[in-house]
Amino acid sequence: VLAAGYRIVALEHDLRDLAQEERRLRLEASYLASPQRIEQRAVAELHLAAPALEQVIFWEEIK
Amino acid sequence: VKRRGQIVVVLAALWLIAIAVRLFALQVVRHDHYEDKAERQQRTAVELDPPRGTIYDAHGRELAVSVQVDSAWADPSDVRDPAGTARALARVLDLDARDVETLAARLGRKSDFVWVARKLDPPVAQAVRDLALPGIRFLQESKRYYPMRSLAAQVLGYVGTDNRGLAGLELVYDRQVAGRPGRRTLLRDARRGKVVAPGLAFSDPEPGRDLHLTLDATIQHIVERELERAVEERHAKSGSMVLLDPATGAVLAMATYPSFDPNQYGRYPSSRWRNRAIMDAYEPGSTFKLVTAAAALEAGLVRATDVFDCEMGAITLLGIRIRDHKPFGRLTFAEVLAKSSNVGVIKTALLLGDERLFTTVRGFGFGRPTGIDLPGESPGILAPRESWRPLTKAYISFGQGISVTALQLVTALGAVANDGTLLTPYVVAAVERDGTVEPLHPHPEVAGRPLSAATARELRTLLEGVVTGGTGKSAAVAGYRVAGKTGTAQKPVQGGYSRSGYVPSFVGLAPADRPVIVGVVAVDEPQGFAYHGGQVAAPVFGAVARQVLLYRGIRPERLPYAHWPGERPTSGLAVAAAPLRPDHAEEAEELAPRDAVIEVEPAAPVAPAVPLAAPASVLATAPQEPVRAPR
Repeated sequence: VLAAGYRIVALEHDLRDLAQEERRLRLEASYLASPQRIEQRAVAELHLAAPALEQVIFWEEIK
Repeated sequence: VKRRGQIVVVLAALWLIAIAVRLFALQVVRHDHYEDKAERQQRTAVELDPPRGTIYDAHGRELAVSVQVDSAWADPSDVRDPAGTARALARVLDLDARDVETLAARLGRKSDFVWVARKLDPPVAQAVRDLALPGIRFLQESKRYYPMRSLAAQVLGYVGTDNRGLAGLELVYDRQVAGRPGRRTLLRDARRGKVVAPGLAFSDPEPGRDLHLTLDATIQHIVERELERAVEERHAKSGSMVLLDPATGAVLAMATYPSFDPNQYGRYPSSRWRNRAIMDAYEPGSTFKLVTAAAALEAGLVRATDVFDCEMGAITLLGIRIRDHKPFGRLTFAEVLAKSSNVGVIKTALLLGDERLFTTVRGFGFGRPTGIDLPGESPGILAPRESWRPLTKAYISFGQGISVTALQLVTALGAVANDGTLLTPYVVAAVERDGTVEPLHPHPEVAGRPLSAATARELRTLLEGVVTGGTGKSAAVAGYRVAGKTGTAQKPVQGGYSRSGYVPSFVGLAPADRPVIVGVVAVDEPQGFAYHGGQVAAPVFGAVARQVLLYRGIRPERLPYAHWPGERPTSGLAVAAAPLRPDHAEEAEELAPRDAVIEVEPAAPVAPAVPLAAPASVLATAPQEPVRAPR
């Protein structure tokens, strides 16, 4: 029983660590996906611009 | 000798009796007391922190997330050199001289526990660990992060060191989001290791619920970007903007500029924490004329074609002269709104009378909070009907003598967009726990019906005239029908109105015939010669509407292309100029004429339409894409 008790504590600890790691990674992903950041990089590094209306075609207009 | 022997025996006997009595006291009389004491030493109760719920935007993007991070603490009895330790910590914790002194004093205290620095970001915590200072230890605490930084900061709010919500949604929904801590009792072994044992008290922490908002991070970003541009260009004090979905009352974006980063809210002046769109009431000025117009149309007192004599710029009522912003002669009612004539609207209010105007103003929700799920909403100021003076209706008809919030104004226009039904705006769409999503607003919450569907449609047509041929031309968006009303309110000062402090604003909706967005823009005290709503606020609405309508996949009204963008007119074949992604190739092959060549570029760089996650129905073409010529 005692050995199992030690094991449970260790596994719970691992579980908490992994859950935390997952949250940290998700947090980082959210930061990387933030619209301000993507737009800033798209404009400054890739020299992209939002399209003008006449540069946008809707599927319905093609059909 | 014999006597001495007797004394020794008696003493030994007394000693044995004393031991027996003490043993009896320990083992029998105080048995429970010592058993408790031993248990307390062997057992340790651990409080299990519930993770605070995550806040998501309308598309599941995280706006607020809690993560366990390290907090550094010290056992001063183990700290050999408090001053040296404080100096070493100062380098990694970025402390100034005064903080170092305070920390050194704390580390020199006679105590078992002092905080060194709480909730450290992982790299900082690692740097402190690397110092390997004697007596410095770590424990884990939950820290709130806002990964999109200042995005929607005033709506989200922030939490304090104790993890309680202090502002915004974090405050209003604190009970749901915070969760409940759990407790667990563990046995401690001789080496201070921990072990669970059966039969010990145990309660799981109840994790906080997640919130799913109506805000869309992309729309919020567009709104914040355009608002910031306007405030900075005009050197204004501040600005706010709200965008609603008129069919549901859902808030798509709500912004106040200048803003702050809720990750470090303490570094900003408290004035930036204010959600001005709901907390600040201001005199709306001419935007309020749409309410007067709604009342008159609903009562059947005026028609769009009725002619008003606007008396070349001024009207005198009870000896008080009220001026127009420029002289107008005879205008139709539609023109009164389009050109924003005070005299024309005052005459409309005189036709209406106090009672009908007051009822409509109340009916649109002014003078009371809208009931949005955010803290600190101002009800605005609407004098009770009984205290109206003879001229009150004249002033209120063009937005003076009444204070409203930007949210009240946009909610009111929402009723016009929504065929006359006033809805309660909301920010939180649903709460989630253990994967079960519970919608909070399965049906729009109706707050009133201030006007009929027919009146609402007629008013939308009149408001479209403001944009096509009136004061709101700069809100126009090519390809879409925009309707709205401009306003340029003078700020009230002691004994009258300021001649230099203005609040230009614009309330608008688009597309005018079937609105999908309704919005308000208000800019506080722009500097320079351009201070009219049509110059300062209307362009912001136009810019936002153009991007948001495209982002939401609303097709513009335009003639079918004779030639598609990028196509060579000679080919006579319809071939999309955008490089096709593999997942579209099959569909394109069906659509294209038999002899067209469909080229598939595996990872062709396509310029994003409006940033991020544009709906699949929008195909953006990069400006200089090669034309796929037919064979």
